[in-house]
Amino acid sequence: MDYAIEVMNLVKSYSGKNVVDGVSFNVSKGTVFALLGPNGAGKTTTIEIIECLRTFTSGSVNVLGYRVGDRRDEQEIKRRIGVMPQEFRALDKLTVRENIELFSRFYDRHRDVDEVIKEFDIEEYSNVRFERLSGGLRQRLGLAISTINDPEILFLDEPTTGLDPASRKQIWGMVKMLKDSGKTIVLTSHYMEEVEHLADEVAVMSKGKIVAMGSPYYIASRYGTGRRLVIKGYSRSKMLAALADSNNTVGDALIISMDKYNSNSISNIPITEIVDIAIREGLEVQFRNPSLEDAFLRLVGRMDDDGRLINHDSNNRIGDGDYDDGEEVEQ
Amino acid sequence: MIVIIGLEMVIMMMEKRLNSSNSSSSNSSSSKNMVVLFVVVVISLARALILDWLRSKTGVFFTILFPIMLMSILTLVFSDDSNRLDLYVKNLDVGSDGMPTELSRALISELESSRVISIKHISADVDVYEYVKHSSKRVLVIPEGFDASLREKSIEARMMITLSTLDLLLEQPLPDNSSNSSSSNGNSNSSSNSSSSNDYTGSDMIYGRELLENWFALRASNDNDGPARLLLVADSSRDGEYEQIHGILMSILLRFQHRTMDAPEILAMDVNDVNDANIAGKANYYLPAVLAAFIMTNGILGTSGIAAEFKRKGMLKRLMSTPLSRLQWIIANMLTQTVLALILASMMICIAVVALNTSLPNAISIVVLAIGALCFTGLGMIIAGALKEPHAITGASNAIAFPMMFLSGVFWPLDSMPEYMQSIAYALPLAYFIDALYASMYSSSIIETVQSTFMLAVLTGAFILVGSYLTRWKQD
Repeated sequence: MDYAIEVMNLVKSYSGKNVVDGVSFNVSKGTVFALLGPNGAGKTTTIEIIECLRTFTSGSVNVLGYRVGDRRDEQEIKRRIGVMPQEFRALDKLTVRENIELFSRFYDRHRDVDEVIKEFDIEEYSNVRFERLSGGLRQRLGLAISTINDPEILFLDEPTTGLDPASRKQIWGMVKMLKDSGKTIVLTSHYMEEVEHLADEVAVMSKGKIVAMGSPYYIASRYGTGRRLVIKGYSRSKMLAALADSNNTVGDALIISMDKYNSNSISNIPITEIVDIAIREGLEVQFRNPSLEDAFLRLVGRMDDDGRLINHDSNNRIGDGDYDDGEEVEQ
Repeated sequence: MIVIIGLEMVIMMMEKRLNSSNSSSSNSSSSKNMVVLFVVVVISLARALILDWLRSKTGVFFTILFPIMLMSILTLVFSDDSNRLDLYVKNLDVGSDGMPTELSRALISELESSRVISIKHISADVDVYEYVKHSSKRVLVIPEGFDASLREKSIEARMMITLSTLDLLLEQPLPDNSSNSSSSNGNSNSSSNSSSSNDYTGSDMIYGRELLENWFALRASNDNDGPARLLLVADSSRDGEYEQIHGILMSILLRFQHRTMDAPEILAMDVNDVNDANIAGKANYYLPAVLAAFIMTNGILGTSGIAAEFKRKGMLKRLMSTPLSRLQWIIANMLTQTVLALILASMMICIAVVALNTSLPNAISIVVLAIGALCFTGLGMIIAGALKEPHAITGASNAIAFPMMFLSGVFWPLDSMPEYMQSIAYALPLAYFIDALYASMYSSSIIETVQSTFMLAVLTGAFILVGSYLTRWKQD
C-alpha cells in the first residue's frame, strides 16, 4: 500500500520519561487521518516530529519516502507539506494578501496568490490587516497559507478550536474540498463530531501510546457503549415509568442501554413490546448507535461542557496499548 | 515607505530573473537560482518584518520619535545655567611624593574660598579638549612645574623691584665716595648705628645693580620670560557663563598673586576656546550617544522581541515548518535591524542638523552605525536563543539594555565617572559604539575611529557567532 506517512516505534523522551512511547502507524495517501487524545497524550509531540519541528529519541519516521532526521530530506519534506497550527497567527500589521505573498516566497514553487485567495473565499478581505480579522477568517487564511505550496500532505492542528458553529462548518467544507483534491490530511482535534465528520481513520493516543486505531465507525462500535433505545415522554406511560428505576433518564427521556441486558427483553418485557407500547402512547422512539464520543469517554477520559476531552481518567479506560486483536492497529 | 518600495523592487527584479533563468535548466543556472532564491526569501522576510514594524504606531514612536525627543531634551537640559560656576581642575603639578605642590594647593584653596566657583577635580590622564567637547564643562589646567615657576617669578618680581629702587637711588646725588671707601671694602658694620641708604656708597649700589642686571640677563638667555601660566579650556559657544567665569578667575588670580606671593603680574592665564575645533554644540555630543543608545535598545529589544513574539504566537514554529532556513531567519533579522537603525539614524541626524545645528556625519559613520546595529542584533539573538520563555526573553533584554545605557556614557561622559565604572563601561559594547560613532563623526583622528570600530567589530562578530549557534531551528 502507498503510504504518505510511516511511523515505526517512535519514542520521544524527556529526562528519561517517554512522552511518546513506541508509537507506530501509517497514513495512506489521499486519506484524512485523525490523531486524538486528551492534553498531554503526546499527539502534538508526535505530529511535530513528523513535521520536522522536533527531534526524537528513537524509531523511524518517513514522510513521502523521505526520512525525518536527515537534514536534506527534511528540507524536501518541508517543501511538500503544509502546516496549519492551532489558532493560526501571522504578522499583525500585514494584510491578508501580504501575508500570503510572504509565505509564497518561502517556496521555490508555489501557487498563484490570487488563485488561493479566491479558492478560500477571502477576496473581500485581501487588503485587510491580519489583526482585524475574526477568528474564523484567521483560520481560513491559515488554511489558505498552508496550501500555498500545493502540498501533498496537510497537517491541521485543531483547526476549528474556538470557532463558532458556522465558521467551523466553513472550515470543514474547505477541508473536505482539499481531501477531494487528493491531499493527505493529518488532523488533530478535541471535537469528536469533527473527527466523525472528516476522518477516514482515527488513532487515539493516551499517555504516549496509541490505544485504539481504525475507522471512526469501528472505534465507536468497538469501544462505544453500544446501542441505546431512547423513548421521549416516557412518564406518560405507567408501564414505561416503572422501567425508569432501573434505567437512565434525562429529562423526560428514558434511555435503555441495549448492552446492559444483552437480550431481547428488559425486566421480562420483550423490547418489541416496549417499542409497541411507546408507539401506541404516541411517544417518540429512537434507536441510537454507539458514538465516537462514547468510545473516547471509555478509552481516555471525560469531556467538558463544550464537548472537548479535558482530563484523563484511568479508571474509565481500557488497557493502555492492549488490543483485543490485531484489527485495530494497522502495522 | 521608500525602503519598503525599494526592497519590493529588488524582490521583483530577482524573481523576474529567477523566472527567466528557470527556462534554462543547466547546473550552473540551477545553483545561481538557489542563491537568488535564498536572497529573495531573506529580503522578503526582512521587508515583511520592517513593514510590520513601520505600521505599528507605538513601535515607531518609541523607536524614532522618543530618541529624538530625548536627544533634544538632554541638549536643552545640559545647556542651561545649572552648572555655570562649576570649574573642573586638572592639576598636573605634583611633587615627587605624588601629592599636589604647595602653591597649586594654595591656588585651589583660593579658588574655593571665592564661594562663586565650585571646584571639581578631574584625573590627570583625561584629554581636556575631548572632555570639554563632550561635556561643555570648563577646565582649568595647572601645568607641571607651576609651583617652581611661580616661586621663580616671585623672586624675579622682587629683584625687579630692587633694581628699580637702585635706579631711583642712583638718580639722586651720591654721598662722598672717599670718606666712605672703607664701607665698600666690607667695613659697613662700623656704621651700624644707622640703617639709611646713606650707609651705602654709590659704588655699592652700582655694583649691586650690575649683579642684578647679570642675573636678569642670565634669566633672559634661559628663555624663561613672562609670568607662570595657567590654561583655561572652555567652549564659549556653549558655555553661557564663559565671560563671567573668565572675569571671576582673572580677579581671583590677581588676588592670589598679592595675597600669597605679594607680587603682581607673576601669574597669567591662557585661554583655549574649543569652539574653534569644529564643534557645533551640545547636540554634537548627544547625537552619537543617543543614536548609539537607541540602536542598541532597538537591536537588543527588537531582535529578542521578534523572537519572543513569534514564539508566543506560535509563528516561529509556523516558519520552521516551511523551507525557510535558520540562516535565512538570522540574516533577515540582521537586515531588518540594520535597515531600521539606518532609518532611525537618518531621521535623527536630519533633525539634529536642522534644529540643533550639528555637523553632518560622514560615510564612515554610516558603516559604524551598520556595525553597531549588527552587534546588538547579535546580542538580541543570544538572549532569544539562550532563553525559552518569551517573558524571560523580554525581561532579560530589558535587564541588559537599560543598565548598559546608563553605564556606557550616554547621558554623561565616561571621563567624569569613577575609574572602576569606566572599566565596567569598556567591558560593554555600547561604550565602543559611542566612541566609534563620535570619533567617526567629529574626530579628525582616523586612529581613534579605527580603534573603537575595530573593538566594536570584534564584539559584533563574537555576538553573531554565539547568537547563531544558540538560535535553534528544531525543538528538543
